[in-house]
Amino acid sequence: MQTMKEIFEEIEASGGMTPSRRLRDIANRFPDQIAFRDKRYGIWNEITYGEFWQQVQYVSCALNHFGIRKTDKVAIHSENRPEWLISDIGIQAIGGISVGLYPTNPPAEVKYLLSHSESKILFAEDQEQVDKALEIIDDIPNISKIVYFEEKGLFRYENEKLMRWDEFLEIGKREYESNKDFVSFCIDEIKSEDVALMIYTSGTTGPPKASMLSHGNMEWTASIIPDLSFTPNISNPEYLSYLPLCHVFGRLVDEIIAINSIGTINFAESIDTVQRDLAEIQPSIFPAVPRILERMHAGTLVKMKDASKLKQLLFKVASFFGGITASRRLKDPNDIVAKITNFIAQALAFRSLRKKLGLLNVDNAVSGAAPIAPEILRFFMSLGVPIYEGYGMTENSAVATGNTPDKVKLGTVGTAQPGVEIKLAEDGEILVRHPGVFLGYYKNEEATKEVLDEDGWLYTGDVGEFDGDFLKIVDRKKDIIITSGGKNVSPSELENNIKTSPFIKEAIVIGDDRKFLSALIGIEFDIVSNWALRKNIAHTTYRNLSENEEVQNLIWEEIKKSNEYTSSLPIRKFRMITKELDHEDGDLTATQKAKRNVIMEKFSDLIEDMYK
Amino acid sequence: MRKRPDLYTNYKSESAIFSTLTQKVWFVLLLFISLLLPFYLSNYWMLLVTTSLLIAIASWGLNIVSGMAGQINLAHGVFVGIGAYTSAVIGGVATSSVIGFELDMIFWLPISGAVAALIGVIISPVSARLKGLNLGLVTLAIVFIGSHFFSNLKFITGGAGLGRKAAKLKFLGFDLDSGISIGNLILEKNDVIYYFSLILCILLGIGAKNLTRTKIGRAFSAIRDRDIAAEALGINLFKFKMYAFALSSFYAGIAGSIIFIISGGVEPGTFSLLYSITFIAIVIIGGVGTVLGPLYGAFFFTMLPGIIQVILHALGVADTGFFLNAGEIERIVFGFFIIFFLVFEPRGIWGIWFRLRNYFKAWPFSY
Repeated sequence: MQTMKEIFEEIEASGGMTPSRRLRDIANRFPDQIAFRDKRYGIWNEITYGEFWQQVQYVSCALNHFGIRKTDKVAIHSENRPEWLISDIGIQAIGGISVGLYPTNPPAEVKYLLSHSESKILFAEDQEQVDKALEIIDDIPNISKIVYFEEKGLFRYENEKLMRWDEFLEIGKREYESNKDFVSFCIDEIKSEDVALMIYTSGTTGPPKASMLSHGNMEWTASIIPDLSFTPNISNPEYLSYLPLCHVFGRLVDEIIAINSIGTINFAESIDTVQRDLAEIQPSIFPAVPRILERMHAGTLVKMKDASKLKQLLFKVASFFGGITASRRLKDPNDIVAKITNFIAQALAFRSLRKKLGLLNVDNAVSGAAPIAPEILRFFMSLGVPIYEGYGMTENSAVATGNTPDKVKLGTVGTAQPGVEIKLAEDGEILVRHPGVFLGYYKNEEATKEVLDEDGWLYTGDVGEFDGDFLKIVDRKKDIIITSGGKNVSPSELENNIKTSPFIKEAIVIGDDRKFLSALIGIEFDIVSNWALRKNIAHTTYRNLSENEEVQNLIWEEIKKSNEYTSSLPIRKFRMITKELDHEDGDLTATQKAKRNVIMEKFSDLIEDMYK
Repeated sequence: MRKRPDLYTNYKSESAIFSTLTQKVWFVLLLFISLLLPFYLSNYWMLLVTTSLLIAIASWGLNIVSGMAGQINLAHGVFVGIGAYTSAVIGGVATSSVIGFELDMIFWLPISGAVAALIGVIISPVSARLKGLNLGLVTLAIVFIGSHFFSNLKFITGGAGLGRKAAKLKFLGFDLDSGISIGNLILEKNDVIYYFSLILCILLGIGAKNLTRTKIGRAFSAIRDRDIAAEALGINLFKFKMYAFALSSFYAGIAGSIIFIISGGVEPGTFSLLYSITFIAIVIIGGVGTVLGPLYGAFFFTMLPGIIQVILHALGVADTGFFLNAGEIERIVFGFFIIFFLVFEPRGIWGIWFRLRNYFKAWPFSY
């Protein structure tokens, strides 16, 4: 087995590889290295790189058998699991283009995505996803086969398009026996400019657009792994796969970084058990999205309230020392005083806390995919978790900027990743250029032209400003609020400040063309409910709790707190959203981002009420 | 894997008896200390330790049927008696009034367990029909039936008030009653009993621990938690309650076969209701349904008289006219502890340990 240093040196010497080539390479050299651990019935079952490669070849052969040729699209609709990556690489290996669907996509969206992408075969996880596909099967004649991973509940389904995963592999195995070099041959045929996968952007406005990423994009991304902001100080490559693989962030970490670094990818048992699985896996690289970090932060604070007085006191003392660690490390990562304060804080409480959170062995954590409040990052830094914010988007393979231990400034998204050119347009829009920038939107020349100019600059749609070398994101260009007083406000900054409160899950700031700023607030039900129990406030449903007067007072106090450390205008009024926002109702995108325009329209009466 | 202690890639490691290195180290350390104990402790304390080990074995038996399988058994002492008399008959000396075959320990030890287990099996159908208080009453009746038999089967037991000598300590042809010398090492009879007890305690303790992770053990827990649900899951109540009584009585029989060799004789009056209640108390004080609990309980129970004696001596009231004698104080203290544990710590001494461990395990949270 190679050490991380040797792996990085090798990547630097020979350049990056597209996942299918890298997989073949690893399987030939280290076939017994563990590729996946998959938790089933409480036990982590291990799959080696040798087996991984074998199954990929079966998938490729079977796809070929069912008529998938170069540039044909194949869709995958599943939660993260080994079969996801096996099918994905199996599709890419023979030059096919893989399309990932979110497990939460409702049938209508599934129909749009499958027909827009012209997928020919669908890999569906289980009964839930198969049902969605069957509901709209008559509208998507392009789908000729639906292969499902889990048989539970499906054995009585009679549709000639349905096929079990193991049946599918069996066919692949038979084909493979007749021509063992077929897949290897196909992989050699892949060219850098070929499209490898399409990632549908979640689309806060309008229907999702399919970004085409090429093998070349992935090769470039792989080639800069040793210098990427994800990898400083990584000692051993253990990953927990929980970010959706159909999202560029999940794909970047689990498919490109993990496989290129010969890592072990652990699949959580289910979305509800991520916290427990995290504690069992104790990964060394932790890619995180703000939502997860906010929940960990809120969960910790709330559970601390239930702890005994002594423990609370020690936690406070540890937090005090942790705070010193965080601020000193931000200035100098090797600060001696920070080492001492960190040692004390760890001994008092934080070592065991990190162990419970599953962050004990984390060598490097990255927050991305959405803006995060600096307070949350500071909290994790004070725990001694090296966590840094990065910035990227589907259209640039999620690679643009990142903070690293040596170069970090809170509130910014860091400096340019290696090989990345960044500049600001006249209106402040961030432009990015590097070999990882996508080929364009599938079947949407017009949209492509809007974001890609002739020189290869990608118009990100984000407005930013430079703070020295560090890039600071102001907001999405279209989201920036201009009050009737003419003041420019970035709602996402305010929203993230508000969401630092453990009680608040959703915040949507309003004020475009209005006299003052206001906000729509959604509560974090579990935590507010816990708070209410302690205060003896009777409540039943989400709505009932949201409408409670004392809860409203609590939220108002929290908003006032966040008003204190905001640089722009304060929030003057707020209203409660009395339902939980949901993807299926169209309030959230598949990545759980609030769809601002949908919500503003849905709750327009609440908004108008505030400005009466 | 060293950095990921909670990551299990197979069921074997997940359900290991010693799941962590710390536990293994502690076990070996304790074993080592136990082996050296006779060379450092006085005869009096060695007797207490040996008794504790044997009482622990019998308590494990009660814990299997009551703690694990949830069947009330007030007659556990009777099974200890059955073990004691079986060993006395097979391994003891015949006199004009009692029978005895003077056989080797290798015979009487397993047979004592087996006979007790057989009687357990015979009465187990009762538990398949009754539960709760009713079962308790029936087992109470067994105590009196047992007493009656013990008093009147004079050719076996020697009769009430008289009793008989316990089994001879003969192992693989070696007569161990007068001790044994291995090279320069001289072991007295009590030391030999101690080592036998230690070995049995380790084997049966691991057996009890192992039981919790087997199909049978899981069936016991299911029956204890809700017998109707267990039956709905396909657990044969009749069969598994029978197993529970058989295993429980086996442990009692084994413990009973040796325990009276220490004092030399067995008297039928010993196996009264109070004797059976003692085991219930030990299990409650130690910790119901746990493996370590009865061990703690047994030591606590056995050591208590010694400790009370020491305290009385220290206070200078041991021999003078204190209105209670040592035995009475002992019983009062013991009764007090039973009430205390039932009210404040139903999980027993083990529960205190468990809470203490969890306090640090959950650090910095409280759960």
